[in-house]
Amino acid sequence: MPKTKTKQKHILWVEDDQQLVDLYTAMFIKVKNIKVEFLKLGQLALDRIKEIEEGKAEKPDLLMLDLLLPDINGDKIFEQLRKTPSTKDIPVFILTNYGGEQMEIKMTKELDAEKYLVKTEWVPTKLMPVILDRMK
Amino acid sequence: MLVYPLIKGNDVTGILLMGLSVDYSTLSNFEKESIKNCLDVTALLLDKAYLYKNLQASYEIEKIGKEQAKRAYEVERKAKEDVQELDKNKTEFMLITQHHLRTPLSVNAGFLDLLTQGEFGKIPKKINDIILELKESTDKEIKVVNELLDVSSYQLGKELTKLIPGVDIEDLLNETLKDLKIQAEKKGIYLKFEKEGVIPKISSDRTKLKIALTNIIDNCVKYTKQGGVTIILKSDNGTVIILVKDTGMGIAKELLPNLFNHTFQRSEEAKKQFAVGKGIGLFLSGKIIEGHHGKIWAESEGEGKGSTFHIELPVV
Repeated sequence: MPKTKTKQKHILWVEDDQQLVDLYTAMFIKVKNIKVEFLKLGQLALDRIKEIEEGKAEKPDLLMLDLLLPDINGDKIFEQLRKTPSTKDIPVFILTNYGGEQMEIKMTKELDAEKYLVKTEWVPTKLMPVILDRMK
Repeated sequence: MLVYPLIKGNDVTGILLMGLSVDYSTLSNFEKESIKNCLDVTALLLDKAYLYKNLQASYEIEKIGKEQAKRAYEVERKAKEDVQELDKNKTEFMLITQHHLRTPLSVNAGFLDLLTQGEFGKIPKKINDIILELKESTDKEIKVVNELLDVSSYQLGKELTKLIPGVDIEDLLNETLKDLKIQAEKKGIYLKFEKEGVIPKISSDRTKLKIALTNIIDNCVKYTKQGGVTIILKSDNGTVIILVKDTGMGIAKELLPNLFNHTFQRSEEAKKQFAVGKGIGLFLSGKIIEGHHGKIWAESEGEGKGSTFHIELPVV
């Protein structure tokens, strides 16, 4: 009997800091059924949203979003994601070092981020179960 | 020549001179009356003219006054706007600074976490001990960075305490102590909780009050080498009272009055013992209790004789 291959899950991860990209890559090293793709600029994320809408790119199962990026702030990406029909239902986890109650309220109440996670607090072994749980 | 006084009330406001080509005494009564009427009207007109002139002058003064007031208002409004803008920029600056401080720390904390969890295989004990040291210092630094932002928010008055009624303080204290128990156990000191009587629920910003209580109890645990820390919860006359008593190093008398007013206040002895200060924590705790319309103060018989922190929170 041919092996049934389950579709690999896809996480799109917007993170500009290379060392953090290295860290999160290391975190997923043993995980085979999830593909993690990093985008290091806000504009690349906006382009990707457009491509998904045009059917030229794959829709991810989860978007991990940083807020302070070198070119565009993460909230703008989030807003665009929600405005675009094909991406408006992608679950979003904010993973940032940008604190502040107001931003957290904006992201989780005005927009609908499922989680607002501060990187220093959400170290890999704490973060990983939360992500894997959402990928089930 | 006819001389006619202009009278307003009891005052003579002027004199009208009128030249006559005929002798006044030859004029008929009607003519005399007509001249008098004519002079009265002139007097009235002159009076109105004065009044008008005065009015105009006062209007001018008023106009200048109004303009000055408007300018002053504009200056004040601009100053207020500038202060608000400055506050906003300062907060934004702090948030961005914090982000930049946290980013390398999250790389450190992240890799150290993976290392200590054995994600990269077994590590020799000697190296593992060093990794644990690094992890501890990274965690400390993360805490300081977090507190820095909190302090700056409080100084700007941005982060206001949001009081919600019905908070169970006993429950909150149990939760706080759970986190600190491990630390006390590690040091070999006790951490006791005693409740006296029935404790009413209070209006509180639960998350912030937990930060304040954690800071104070953590401070006592940190500065106590022998004996331990006792937390007493009681209620009196519409107030919930929390006492945190320790058998630690005590607080110098001269530090007591301003213990909660200044950041980075530590005794010389405390500086010798610990690298990372708790001054920020006490300042922050003071602000949080203030936000609860409560009182906080500390008592100590002096250095080496333990200390007691008093917290009073109104039941509203």
